Amino acid sequence: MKPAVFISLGILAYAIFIVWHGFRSFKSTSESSEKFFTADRGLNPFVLLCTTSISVFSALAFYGAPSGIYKDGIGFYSNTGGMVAGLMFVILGYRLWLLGKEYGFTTPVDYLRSRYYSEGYGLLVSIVLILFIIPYVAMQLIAIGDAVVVTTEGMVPYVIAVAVGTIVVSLHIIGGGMGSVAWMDTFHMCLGFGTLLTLIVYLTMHYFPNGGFVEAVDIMRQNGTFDILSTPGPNGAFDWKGIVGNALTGAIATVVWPHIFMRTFVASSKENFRQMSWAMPISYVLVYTPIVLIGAILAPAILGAGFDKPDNIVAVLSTQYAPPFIAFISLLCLFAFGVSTADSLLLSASAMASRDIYLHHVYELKGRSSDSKQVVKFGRIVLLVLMIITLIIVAVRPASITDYAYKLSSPFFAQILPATVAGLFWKKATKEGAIAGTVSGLIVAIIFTFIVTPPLGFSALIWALVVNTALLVIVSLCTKVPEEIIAKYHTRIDSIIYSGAELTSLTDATIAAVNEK
Amino acid sequence: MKKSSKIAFVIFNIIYFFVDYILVTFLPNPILFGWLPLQLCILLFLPVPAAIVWGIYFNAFFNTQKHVKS
Repeated sequence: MKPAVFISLGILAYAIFIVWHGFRSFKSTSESSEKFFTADRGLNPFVLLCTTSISVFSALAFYGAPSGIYKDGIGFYSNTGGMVAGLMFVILGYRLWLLGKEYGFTTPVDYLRSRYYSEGYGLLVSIVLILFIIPYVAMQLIAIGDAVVVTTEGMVPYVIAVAVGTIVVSLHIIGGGMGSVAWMDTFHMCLGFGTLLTLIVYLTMHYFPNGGFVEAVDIMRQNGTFDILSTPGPNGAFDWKGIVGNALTGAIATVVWPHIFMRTFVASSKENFRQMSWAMPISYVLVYTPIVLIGAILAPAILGAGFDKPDNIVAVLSTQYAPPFIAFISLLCLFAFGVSTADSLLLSASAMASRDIYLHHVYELKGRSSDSKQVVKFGRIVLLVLMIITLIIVAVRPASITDYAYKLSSPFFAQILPATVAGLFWKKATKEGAIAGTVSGLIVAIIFTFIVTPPLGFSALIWALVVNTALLVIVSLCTKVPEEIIAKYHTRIDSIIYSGAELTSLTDATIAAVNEK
Repeated sequence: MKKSSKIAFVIFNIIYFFVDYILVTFLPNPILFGWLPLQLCILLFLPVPAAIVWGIYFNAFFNTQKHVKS
């Protein structure tokens, strides 16, 4: 059998498996929106860890990180920000989880609209998030489509590849909702890690049999790629300012990406957060170490300096420098990263459109009671519409629109970070402050992305966050928060978190005093 | 939790992120074990001890949350 046929059949089997997995739970997820969008808030620690981590690692991490390291050196790896996302997930996530349990929140918009007592602010956030999820999803599918074409040597055309990818991802979510997405993400996490290890072991043993990485680094000393292994790298991009900018841009706002934000609401218990505090950074280390080693050592040693298509080094290594089985494994790894990010993002867009726009504005605000099944049905219709829009974008591939929108996705998602943090920890954060901060952040992100080069070497995202935070604080100090909001979001949550702690401290102090006596 | 534990945790994180974001670029870069540059070693593996410290701290924190129902 020709390798391209073998790989195509493998992709087909994988696609059928994913759709089957989603539709297995179609009936049970049709019964309630809580089940469809939050898996009944019942994800266990391991599944939550896998679905959160693999949703952060996109197809662009698998293809982009090795390319970035090959081009600019190991400093590029700072885009994980010292795994700060793990720390933030616990610090912000625990309070958000408590709020979700108390008030039934499911999406970022649920929380922000309610905390900032503003329908307009909620609508603004939901529209921005939904609009900019689509290009981000499209980029995942385009990466998959390109890789399928290369790996099958053109036997599967690009349009067919992206069409199958888009339909499979969408049907998977339509079938099973959050529960299905989370379990498939867990499978993808294991698949991604396993395939990365296989790829790295094969390349090392095949090309450097007499010393492994030591031999590879010796070759790098001679072929002019040794600068990759130090900062600031071959092009001088990663001095300390470059690293700080890259770290903050890549990592600090990860926790408020809509699909990651939603995962703070789906934990089954507080134990999830206890485990996430150490397990999430460790999962980053496990997955990123092979990715970094490919870009920093294996690719430079095998391909040498000045490779003319640095963006394709992973695809080239796995197809031209490895047998078909490894090429297929590598493609599965790309699927694991790409599909897990795309399905999570599409589900969050569907949740925001159906719950925060349709349910809230058509039913709740008009005092009409809603049927939970109807919300799920609408969520599925939204997913179908998103599937068609995404399909058109990835098939037509309007370079400018996709590229511009993609460049804005991450900076725009990040603009809810100041309002989220302030809403959790600062009683004085007001509606006016949140609106002024978020709107100014969006404007600054646009200006520094397309019109003016951001000063001091920091990215548009960082400057937008600085302006956003400054305006949020200043405007909040000039305005007033209603007492009931403070009672609901601060006094109540603080009392939940600290009442037990105070009681324990008091008991400890009393026992200590008695013992001393 | 004790205030001193919270302060120690904050100081640890400041030092950790300072090393991981800034100091790493100023450190010498000898090759360890014949293949692993020190700077890469720090970027790749410093998060492991950080994860251990975070785990210990939040384990202690969640021990104070036994009253919170799952």
